[in-house]
Amino acid sequence: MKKIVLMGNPNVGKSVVFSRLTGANVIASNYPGTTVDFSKGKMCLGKEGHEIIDAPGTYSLEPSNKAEEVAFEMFGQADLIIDVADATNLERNLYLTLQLLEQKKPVILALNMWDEARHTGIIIDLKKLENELHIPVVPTVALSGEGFSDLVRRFDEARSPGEIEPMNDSERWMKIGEIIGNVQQVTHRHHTLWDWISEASIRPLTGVPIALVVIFAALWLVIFIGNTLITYIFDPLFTLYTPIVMSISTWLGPGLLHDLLIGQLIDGQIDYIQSMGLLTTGIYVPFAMVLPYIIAFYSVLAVFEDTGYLPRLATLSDTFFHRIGMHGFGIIPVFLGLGCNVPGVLATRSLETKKQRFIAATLIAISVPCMAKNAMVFGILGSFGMVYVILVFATLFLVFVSSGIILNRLIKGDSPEICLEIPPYRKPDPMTVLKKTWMRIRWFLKEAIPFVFLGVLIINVLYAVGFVEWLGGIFAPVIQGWFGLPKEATTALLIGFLRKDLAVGMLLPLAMSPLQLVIATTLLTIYFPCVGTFAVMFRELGIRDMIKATLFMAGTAFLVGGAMRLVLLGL
Amino acid sequence: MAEAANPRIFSDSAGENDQLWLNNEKYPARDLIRLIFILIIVKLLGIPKGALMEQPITSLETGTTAVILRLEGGHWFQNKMRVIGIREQKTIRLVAKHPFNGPVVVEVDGREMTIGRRMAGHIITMVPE
Repeated sequence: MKKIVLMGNPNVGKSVVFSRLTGANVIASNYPGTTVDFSKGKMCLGKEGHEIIDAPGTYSLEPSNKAEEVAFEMFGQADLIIDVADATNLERNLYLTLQLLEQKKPVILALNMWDEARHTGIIIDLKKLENELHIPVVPTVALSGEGFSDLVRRFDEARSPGEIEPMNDSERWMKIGEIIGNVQQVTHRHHTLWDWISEASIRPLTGVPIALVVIFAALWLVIFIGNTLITYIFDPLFTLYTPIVMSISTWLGPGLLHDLLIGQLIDGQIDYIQSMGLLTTGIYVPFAMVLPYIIAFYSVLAVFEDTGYLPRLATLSDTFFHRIGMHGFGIIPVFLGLGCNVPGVLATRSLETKKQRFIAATLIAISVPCMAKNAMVFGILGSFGMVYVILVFATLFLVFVSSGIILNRLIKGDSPEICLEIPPYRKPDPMTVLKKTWMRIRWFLKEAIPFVFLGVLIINVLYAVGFVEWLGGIFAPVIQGWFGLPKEATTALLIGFLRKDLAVGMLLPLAMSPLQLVIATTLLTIYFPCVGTFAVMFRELGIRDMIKATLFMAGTAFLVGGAMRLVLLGL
Repeated sequence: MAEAANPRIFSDSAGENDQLWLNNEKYPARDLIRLIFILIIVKLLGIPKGALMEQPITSLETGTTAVILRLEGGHWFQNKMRVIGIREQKTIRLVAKHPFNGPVVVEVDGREMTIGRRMAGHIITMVPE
């Protein structure tokens, strides 16, 4: 089986090409650095099966971050390379193309975004380009699928041309200049409305107000969509579901199985948050409380990603992120982390140094609450008043900033400056947005449901064997004495390692005051990441840095929890 | 000659040239007089303001178009700039300059790029007459 690797500069559309060729779906967006790991897929050509590998984007074969190292590694394994180039920016893309050709591997060049090049008045003579490079050159439009039958048909023609000898940098640039002069014509392009918007949104004076409006609009949209879904779809569904569980409950009668499946009846009724049965809380929390917000968040994020606004936001926030040891690109892992910490921590790979990656991953784990948990905070604290929700987020923001400043001082190493390409604004394709949102929702369901079930199961077992009492007793000095919370909250913190959303739900039966709830939910974010985040941090940072991060989290939780108690509850 | 009159006009820290007189807190008037003096010489000699000298892209005014003369700094940095399209002889436009020593946004070949202030200081340009 042949290994075919997709290589190319960042944000040229490799992932879309990959989806086209394999039919497998991978996340693609309009900003450089979407793909940080490789994906494998298969395609059949005649009778032969081929393995297609989507690699992260790279400007050259000298890697400058972890994602580019992955690309370089994939390059080594390739039998055939599809060099995906941005037709609107051929000159720059040719540098990597030449480097690939010098390595004497068979290459086929896909000139992607061919339609956009045509619109912007760039004319490329394909025949001449083929003669210059001695490889097949195929114009493609990955989004629509234009040119793909040609691309696949010409795989066989791809071979390593003997004519391109290894060169040094200046020779390579000379060669590129020569090629571009021969094959490309650029007609003058008028500035469009989009260019004007593009500049307004990246200049400090106009960009900052625009960013504030955009972020608040996005936030409002997420809450609005989430609430609408709950009110009009999920709550009515559960109204229909209640009689079914009630009859199961009556049929089962009291006993162990009833406790496990239905849980405790509260005033003879099922309380979906407090009952703690597999068929009640185990289904209600992930589907009726979390899923609506997951849908809302990821559809808004997908639109955000595909317009190309994120790199502009990265530019505007660069100065701020410098104070906390990263640069503006750090906002992208943080945004992804707001959905789920796992992809957030993974996205830190696009940061250049170990210091930046450590700070980014730790800050995400410590102070960026995921959507599953946020949904529960909205649902539970929101009923007492929005001011409490705001209190939680304001505290987390303060923790984010101050931890960042401290880590920036403590951690040795470099924090290089930002160097980020700003993609043109593009209109998000509705199908792509839907597909991407669906992929992420499916991923949530697959990851979340088993853990919620496991969590509910463990809670029941722990209560049954009296472990909860025992554990509460041990941690009482800290939880009760220092944080000012009831000692039963210890179990919620324990379950929080499995699922933070479920843990927030567990706080409700403890009859705490809203301010105590604020402290408890804030601590649930800070003290420790959930098991999935823990695993990915372990993999990305290594065991030593993971331990360092964990100690930092525990220390912060202790201090912040104590401080909040003093401020909010008094002595 | 202008360099002798006020060396700070060329340094990064002075920032915006047109606000130079604001920078000297002690003797604001002195700087103002110097600036007027320079401007008179420039006017007399008939040299366009920007073409006076080669300067890092960071000292250009927002919106100015210039030509990249050379890149300074280490090999790794120079290479990094070239592969993203910032090379000698290219026309470059300063789109935005962010405050508090924030990054600059430049446009080369119709593409915008955000580059840290220190890095951008190593891109030496000349405004064509």
